[in-house]
Amino acid sequence: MRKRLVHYLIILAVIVVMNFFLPRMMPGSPLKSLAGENPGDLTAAEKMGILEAYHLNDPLPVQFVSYLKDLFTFRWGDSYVKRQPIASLIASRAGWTLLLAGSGMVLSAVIGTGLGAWSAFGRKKKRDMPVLLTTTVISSMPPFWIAVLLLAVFGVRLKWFPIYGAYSMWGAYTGIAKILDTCRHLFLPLVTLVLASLMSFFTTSRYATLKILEEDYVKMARLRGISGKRVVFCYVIRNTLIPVFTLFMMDIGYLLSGSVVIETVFSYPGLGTLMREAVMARDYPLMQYTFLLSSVLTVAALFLADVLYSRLDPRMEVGRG
Amino acid sequence: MKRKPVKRKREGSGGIRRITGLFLATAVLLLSACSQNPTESGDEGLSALTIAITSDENTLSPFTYVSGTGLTVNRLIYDTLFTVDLENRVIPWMVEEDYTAEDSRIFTFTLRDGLRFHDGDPVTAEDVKFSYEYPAKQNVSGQRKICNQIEKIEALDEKTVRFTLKETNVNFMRDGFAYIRILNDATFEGREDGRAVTETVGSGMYRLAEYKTGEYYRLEAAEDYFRGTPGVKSIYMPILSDSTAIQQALLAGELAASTGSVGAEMQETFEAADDLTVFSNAGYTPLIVNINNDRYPFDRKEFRQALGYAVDVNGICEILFGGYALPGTKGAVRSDLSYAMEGLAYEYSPEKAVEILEGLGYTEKNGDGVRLDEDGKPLRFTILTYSGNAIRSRACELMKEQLKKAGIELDIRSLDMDTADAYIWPDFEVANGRDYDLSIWGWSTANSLTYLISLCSSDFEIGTYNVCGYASEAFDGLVEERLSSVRTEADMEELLRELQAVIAEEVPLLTIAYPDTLQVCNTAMYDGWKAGKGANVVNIFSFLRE
Repeated sequence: MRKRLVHYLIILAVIVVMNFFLPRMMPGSPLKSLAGENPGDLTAAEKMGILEAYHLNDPLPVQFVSYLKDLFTFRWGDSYVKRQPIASLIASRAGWTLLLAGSGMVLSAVIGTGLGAWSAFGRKKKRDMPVLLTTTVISSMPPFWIAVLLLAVFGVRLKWFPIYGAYSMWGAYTGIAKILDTCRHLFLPLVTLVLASLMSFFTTSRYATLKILEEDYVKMARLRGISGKRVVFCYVIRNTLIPVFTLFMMDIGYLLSGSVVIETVFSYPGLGTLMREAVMARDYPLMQYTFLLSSVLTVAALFLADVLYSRLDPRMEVGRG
Repeated sequence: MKRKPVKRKREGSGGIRRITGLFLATAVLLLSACSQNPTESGDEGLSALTIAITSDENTLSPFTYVSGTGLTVNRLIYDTLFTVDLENRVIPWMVEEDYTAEDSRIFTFTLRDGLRFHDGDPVTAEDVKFSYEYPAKQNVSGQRKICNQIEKIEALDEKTVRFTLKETNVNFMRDGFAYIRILNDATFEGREDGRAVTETVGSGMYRLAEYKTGEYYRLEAAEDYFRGTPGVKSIYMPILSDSTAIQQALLAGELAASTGSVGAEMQETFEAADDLTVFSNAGYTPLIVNINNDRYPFDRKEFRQALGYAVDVNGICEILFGGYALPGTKGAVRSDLSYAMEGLAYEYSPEKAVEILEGLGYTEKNGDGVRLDEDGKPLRFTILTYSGNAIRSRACELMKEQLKKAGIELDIRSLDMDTADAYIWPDFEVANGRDYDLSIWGWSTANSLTYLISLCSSDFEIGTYNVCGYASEAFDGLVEERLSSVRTEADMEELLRELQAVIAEEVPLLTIAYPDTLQVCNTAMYDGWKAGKGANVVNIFSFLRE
């Protein structure tokens, strides 16, 4: 366990370092965000003055030390383009992303896994092919296209759901009405996200189930007269969940960044759009801390998965016997 | 005995189905009932409009907005001494019409009656003075450059102010007085960095009532506005950066308009929709092909001239924009402007291009259709374009086909905006050089002497937009010799024509088109929209009652 912890700490250290250097290695300059609409109108000395004011002319090692200091003292500073404290910007967006991506992940995991297992149990039966085909077709559509399709049908034509935003910006809703309003805005982005991420859970679950159904212990259980329901839930599904669990934990890392396209199309005010704006504006501090958050979340999820594996499947416990 | 559980199961299943059905139906009904459109909620006349703003422009103050979109909306909040009308003329706005402009250098204005900031303070000559002095000390590009042209500002009395420029500048009315926003000195006084000031207090027709980062703005009409209370009481502005969402929201009736434009290909869709009208405004933002004049063989004037013949500028303009653009000219200005030189239309002639290339010794020897230069290197170049910009990508594809006929091969490279900018305009400093062959580009407000000089002068102090690295003795000579003696509009127009002639001869770049700005507005929700030359429909004239 200690070994694994060290392993993850090393990964985190690498992430912290990369997180500083990668944005600065990208072509482009944050000058546009710092100098206003027409940076070309400034003289070379004025441009230099702006870069100096933000310590962007300091040698990279000096900037790096300053970055480490700010990182560990939680003085993350202000965004270049938004001119607001980064911590508050992230905090204001994180809730919406967690709502959208979190519920999307859970739903796609539950629906995808369920459909995959159902399809596997019905292999060579009538229901298998349509489920397989439908899932494959839906998942091969780009998320952007699914989003536009849903918007056109349910937003424009039927007017059942709003086109943009996470809530009615000028509605004074409270209580249940507020929750319903939020759900109404969440519906289309959520459906898009679930449809777009269904396939990985579906295939993982389907092929794991098919493989397990062929295992000797499953056949033996049936021969021993154990009820079909018990075989399905205790012998098959339980083992199927291990690869699904791995996939789920790995996807947690994409929680913050994976819904960028969907957030953009639906103008959902989440972290994905914030990250996108940060990259477009070469807003180094904002890029750094949003990326870092996403990376740390991935590492933490993988660490948690490692810890939980042994609970789910004692055969995977490392360091014993 | 065995049937009972089966029966129970069926009953249970049916029950679940019914409950689920009921739940879903209720949910859909409740969710749909939550629909709210502020545009419809007005009790007296038009109480509110929802207009999308295409980017988050911070607090919309003159020091915090980040793009032209911000400038458009900021103009509703902050007034200017002069303004550009729908015919693209500069007219007095906050000042009386009997102003004086001696030698285009000393300007004296009297402020109109009834000018007030949104916090109730009257607008005084001291505020005007402050509004032009403060930006000169700020690190905000455009305004700093403009305000640094002023030698002194005097507040002669409460309402009279005199500006003295360091040098004569015929364009200062447009570039300066119609651009610089009037600030309340009480808001900024003692605040060294204007960007850190979060209060948005202007004297324009709307005040910023609410801003939620990344989500929306809410503007409320200034009821005591000196030109009358605006026609719309509240403007709700959700921040929508995705054009698809904007288009769908317009079609769904969730938006009345947007600060953004739509492509010509979408025009039919919107015109077919009930209540929507497409406004077509003459555009002043050209679609340009930058040529790296520093790099061989583009450093040869004849080679650039061959490019001018090999590219079917008018054809590309027609294919890309249909009838919604004015084709570019060799003089790099709109052909319908009073100072545009006649006879500078591009001529598409692959034969002439071939003739020039042959004359330069670029012949085709390998049988692959690509010409070789004197060293045997193929005429194969790369054109940079922004990824995600379909119009520009299509322009590149068309050019590629056309140049192939002349024996020139073009590779198209799509890059994100900042990466492309880093090759074309490193650190936004033309003196830093450039690293590209050709690139598709655009400049905003490309309609003045200042623009032409900043685009083509090799003195990088003034040629700040010369991303082509064009250096011409003829052009620079004219600027040096004549610029300081420009005193009147007529002088300026004469110089502009001569500069155009030089550019047309030396082809430092290709101006493909001036695309119209197509904007969609819901005329059933509001019928006061005003489109103008180079103006966004979200402009002050759209909301004036008079």
